[in-house]
Amino acid sequence: MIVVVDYNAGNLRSIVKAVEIYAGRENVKISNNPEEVLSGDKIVFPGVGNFKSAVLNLSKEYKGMSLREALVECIESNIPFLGICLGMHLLMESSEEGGNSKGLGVIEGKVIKFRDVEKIPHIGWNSVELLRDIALFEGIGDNQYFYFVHSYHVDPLDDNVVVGVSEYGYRFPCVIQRDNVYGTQFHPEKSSKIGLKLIENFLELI
Amino acid sequence: MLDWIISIKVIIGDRILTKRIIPCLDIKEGRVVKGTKFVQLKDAGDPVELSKLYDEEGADELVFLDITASYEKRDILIDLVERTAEQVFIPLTVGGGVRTVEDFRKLLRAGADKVSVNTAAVKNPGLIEEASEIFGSQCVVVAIDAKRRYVEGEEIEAARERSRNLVKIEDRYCWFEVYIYGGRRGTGIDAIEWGKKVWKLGAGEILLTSIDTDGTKGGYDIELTRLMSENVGIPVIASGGCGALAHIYQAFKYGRADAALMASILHYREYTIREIKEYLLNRNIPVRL
Repeated sequence: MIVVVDYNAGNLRSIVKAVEIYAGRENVKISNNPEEVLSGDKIVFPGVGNFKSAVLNLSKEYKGMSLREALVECIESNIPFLGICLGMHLLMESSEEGGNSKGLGVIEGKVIKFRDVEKIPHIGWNSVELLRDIALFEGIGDNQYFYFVHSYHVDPLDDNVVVGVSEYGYRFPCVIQRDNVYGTQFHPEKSSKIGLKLIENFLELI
Repeated sequence: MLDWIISIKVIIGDRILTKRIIPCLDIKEGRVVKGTKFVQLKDAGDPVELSKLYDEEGADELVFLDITASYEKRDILIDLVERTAEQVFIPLTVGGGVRTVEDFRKLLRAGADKVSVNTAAVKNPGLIEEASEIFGSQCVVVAIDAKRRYVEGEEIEAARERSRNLVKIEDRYCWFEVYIYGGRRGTGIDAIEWGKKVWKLGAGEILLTSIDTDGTKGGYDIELTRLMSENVGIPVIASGGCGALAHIYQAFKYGRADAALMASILHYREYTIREIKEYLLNRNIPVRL
């Protein structure tokens, strides 16, 4: 079962539909229930909105367990996990957007606001330079365009987790990966055919 | 010099944020209004079919502008947004008749990525602040309809005193006034000042339509677009007047727009999106092909 995590952060329709195209409707579950999240064998963790309120939503207890705990457990069990946009940010330890709110902290580093750029948010199609080949980009290749909309970006401590970079004022990490955890700053579900290909690739990961 | 640098970047495929080409579909009771000339589509009046085709051709985003008069028929729009979001995988902005945070919520939940608000924002600027706090700036688009107001003689000084943003166009001075209710009513508000205000209130983008050029096919209002783009720290989408390839180039090059909205030039198949983008790329405007 592929679980798309619903924690009240933006619309899920496009991402769910995109996953359903490849996985089949019966194999996709939208859930905010930690137990169901734990039973998933692939996790899609989307989201747009505010880091702080997302952290609050993830921390709510449900039958003695929070989504935060369930997500961390999924990641520790090394099942394929894809964080998109805010979902990617939440993999980090903290964010400038969130005050003292703690992210999942599965990737060391923080989330910072764009510095010294003319316009924020960074909105539109930008190309992604791959620093190394990963399965997620199989058949997609280097310097392809994806759709971005964000004011903050991740800043991981360990450069080795950065797989792809884009440029807006300066180069910033837009694809990260460690073991089976992936994060994309852009929205594959809004990046037309090439984005759908990335989702298909993710669903083929084991 | 800058041109040269940009052209090099385009040639070597360096990473650069591209300019967006955005088709606008006027929707009434779930159907595309204004005739469209699509021989290859079984139903060119179906917004979903048309959206799929534009996605296929390389549209960077889509805008649905709902002009259904009756608020009671809102469900038709919601249903349309749902069906579109399930089949079209590029960003969708929906506007027209948005009045409350609840309207935002319904459209976003249906699958819109951004919601544009116009008259209601002028009447209640707090709506921008509230919506951006709840849903995030990235999905709050403020649509501004602006009209040139020429001033002469003593009016020039008077306009300056009232902090109007004046521009000189061919020896005449003008400022830009915000219009609401679909361009039917002036507000006396300076469009540039309003743009700065909505930016501060949390808007993520400005969809800027010139009432003077809209429907004329004579080109975007470049002065308006440039003045707005230089005064706000959020992207500006130029709208109104697109009738030729050169107009789009001018909006980006001289108007400093981040995106260009267009309707009839695409709907009547005068040019395909691909043709537009090839034209721009040949003139060193970065676009996604």
